[in-house]
Amino acid sequence: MNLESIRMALKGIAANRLRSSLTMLGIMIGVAAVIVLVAVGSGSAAKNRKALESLGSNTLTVAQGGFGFGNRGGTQSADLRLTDGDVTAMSDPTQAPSVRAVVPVANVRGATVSFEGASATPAQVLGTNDLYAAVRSYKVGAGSLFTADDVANDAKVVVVGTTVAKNLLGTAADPNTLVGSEVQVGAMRLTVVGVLASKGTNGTQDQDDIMLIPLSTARDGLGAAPNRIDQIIVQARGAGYTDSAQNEVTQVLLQRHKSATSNSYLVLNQASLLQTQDASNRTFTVLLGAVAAISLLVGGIGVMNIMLVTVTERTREIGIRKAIGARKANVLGQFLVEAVLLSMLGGLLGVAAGIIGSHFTIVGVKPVLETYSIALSLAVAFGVGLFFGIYPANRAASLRPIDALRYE
Amino acid sequence: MSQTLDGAAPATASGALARPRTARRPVVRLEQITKVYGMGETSVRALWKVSLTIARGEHVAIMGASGSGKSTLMQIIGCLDAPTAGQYFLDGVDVHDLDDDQLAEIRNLKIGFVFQSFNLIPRTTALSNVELPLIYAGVKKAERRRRAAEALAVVGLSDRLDHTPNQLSGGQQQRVALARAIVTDPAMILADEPTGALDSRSTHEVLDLFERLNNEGRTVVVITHEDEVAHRAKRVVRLRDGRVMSDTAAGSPPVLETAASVLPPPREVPA
Repeated sequence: MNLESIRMALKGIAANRLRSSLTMLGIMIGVAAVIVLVAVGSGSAAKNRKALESLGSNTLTVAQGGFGFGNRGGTQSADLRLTDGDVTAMSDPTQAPSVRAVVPVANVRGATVSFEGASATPAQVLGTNDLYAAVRSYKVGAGSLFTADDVANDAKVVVVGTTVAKNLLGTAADPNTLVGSEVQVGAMRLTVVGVLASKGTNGTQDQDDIMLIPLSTARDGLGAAPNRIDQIIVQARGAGYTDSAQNEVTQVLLQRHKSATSNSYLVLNQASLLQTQDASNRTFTVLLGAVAAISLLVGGIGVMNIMLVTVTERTREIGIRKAIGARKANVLGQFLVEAVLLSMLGGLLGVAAGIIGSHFTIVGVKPVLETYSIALSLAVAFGVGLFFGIYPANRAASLRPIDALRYE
Repeated sequence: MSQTLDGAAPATASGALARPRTARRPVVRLEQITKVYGMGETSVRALWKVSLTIARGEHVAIMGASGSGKSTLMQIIGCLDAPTAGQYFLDGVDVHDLDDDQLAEIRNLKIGFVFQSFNLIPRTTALSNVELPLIYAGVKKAERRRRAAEALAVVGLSDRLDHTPNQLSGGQQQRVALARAIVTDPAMILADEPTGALDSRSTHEVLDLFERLNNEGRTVVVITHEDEVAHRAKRVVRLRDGRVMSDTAAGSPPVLETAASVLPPPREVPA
């Protein structure tokens, strides 16, 4: 189609501004809905991914018991108890060659920390070893982490997250200045050797509301049961080793605990969790997009409706054009271009609205704008204009000039 | 361009709008044209074996009361409708069996229409209205502009190029329609009751214009029921009940039933 038909079509659209705008509004809402809903889908996928990634890369989490799904009848053996022996076995390169680091974690429940009259109850107080921070990808903000020697020697030291430090010092103070101070944890006085750099939230939990204590120290004076471990974090040697590490760790557990069943322990593989999460998030995004696409379809029906009205209204004009030499293709083109332009103008406005809408947080999700959704919805708007424009345009083109001229 | 059209009036040719036509062949040659509407019992015979030849440069008025078949004749001459029987040669081209697009092309290049109700495109400037046939003829924009402006100058509306139809008087609108009719340099200007919607002053203006265009060599065919319009023509064809009743040169009194001998006696249409 040439420039002339676009000019004629624009004139046709401008002739009925209100009607054209309302029709465009239908397409606009459809396109904006596709863009925003796809962005929300992607945003929630990104949020889940971030939460999983905060657990550390290439890691497995070994815990007792299952998630609670599956058959856990009362006749089954009790949950498997993780022990220091399991940690030693998993650290053995002959038994678990794919494993790089093994980190035991014992939860200290209900511990409060106080400093110069201020006190805090961190969400997580963990008795662990020197590798925890590295495996969970925490960085040190000030001071240093405790060492393997500290763990071996029951050193009275602690590493705190920024939220804990702020709770103790006040929000205005620099949390890093807590390094070197002595704080009271339960019955013990511990020296703060380091403050972790802030990691922010993982989507559900403040990752800075944490306190790390050497495992031996936690068992000595903070009530962590001896030889009992709540969780073992295993880091594989690399991205390609997570599956073999999972097999090795499972073998170690089955060897060491003869009564273990598949329900009595849990080995969470971050990589495979990520994959399932991604897959379900994609489905979710596609579903949202499909719902929005329906409104685009409804907008298309609106275009068809208005084009039919326009053709009827302009029957006489069609007759004039045909009398002075317009071919079928000229008339067809004119009305088709008008339908497509109507749809595309609505689509462009919808893209603008979609981009603006994607800047707001929607039901707790920060939308992530996807370029493909813009291109796709514009293409669909084009297709909708073409598809729903063909019937009215063809009706116009098929009018006999003599009938069209007589039309009042 | 269709193969069925010869190059007698190429719309893309630049040139004087009033180029004299020298070809011998008639612009319109109707042979035994019959038009019947409807089928069987309810059929209506609008035209019955009408034969008519209009030569180049003629100014012909086709007259008749309503129901005489003059509108049907206009539609057939204008290639807007096809006859039931008979042959029609327009500028040497047999329009029988042409498809819709070829007919559109023939209307575009060979006929300049002027209607009673002007039939300009609303909300569109005079210049754009006159340009329209050239758009369908595929003329480039600059050339189109120039020729449209030239045609509007011929009808004396050079100062109204950017006015839309609702900003123009009836007479002015009809002059825009006339400019649109002559812009493709057609073989014939075909006007259907061109003064039917005009006051007497505008009627004079428009009729003067027809006369001037004819004097410049253009073929003008006017369908009318007004004597004043017919008086300006050089030849008057009167229709009654679908047949040519008289065909006289202007000035001579209408001779009733002159051609009766060449016409078949009125008969009912065979069902």
